[in-house]
Amino acid sequence: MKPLHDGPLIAAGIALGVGLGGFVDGILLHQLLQWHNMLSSWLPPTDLVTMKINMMWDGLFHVLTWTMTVLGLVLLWRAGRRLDVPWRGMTLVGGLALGAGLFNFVEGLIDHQILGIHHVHPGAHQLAWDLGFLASGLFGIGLGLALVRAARRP
Amino acid sequence: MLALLAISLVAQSSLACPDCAPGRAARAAIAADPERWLHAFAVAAPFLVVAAVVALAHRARAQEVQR
Repeated sequence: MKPLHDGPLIAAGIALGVGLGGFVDGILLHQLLQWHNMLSSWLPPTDLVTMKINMMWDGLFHVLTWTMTVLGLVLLWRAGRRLDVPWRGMTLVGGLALGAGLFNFVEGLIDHQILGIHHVHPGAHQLAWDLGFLASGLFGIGLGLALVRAARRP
Repeated sequence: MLALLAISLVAQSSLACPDCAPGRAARAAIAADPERWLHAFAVAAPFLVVAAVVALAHRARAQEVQR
């Protein structure tokens, strides 16, 4: 009886979830809706120069989300080649949910609450939007853990 | 990642507004920002945390035996 090791597949899912979740944030909230930019609370984008400065920092953010996505693909490939890693869709989806949830919670906690470099939707009900963002992160983490555990049941 | 950063620096010279006044002003402001490393840390910090979680998950011990 060989021990199975789903950690590598979960890790791949988390990395992909972080990257893809970060892209949803960057594309939807920064670019399409333009609710905030990376440093929009420290340096409000009220003119073209400050917008360009924020855009550069948004670019760095996307470099990091892209890097996490590539890391996730590499980890997924390597996990797929291992005989001791059970190839289960539920495990991967659980990892994705974990990663996306983790990104929302950690980024929300560090960037919105602790450092205050930007908020989800500045202005009226700012705190409610930020707390909702944190809650979405906790939901993703809970869903991910539930899926990973369910995948392990015989 | 370093290649992307390098390409972004080079690409600035070939964009539609490489030398317009707002572009120059923005680049000068970023270069002169005394807190640019704090800003970079603020952007990167969440990714450092999740990268640690990825590493921990990858090294998690075997949870079950083959069915």
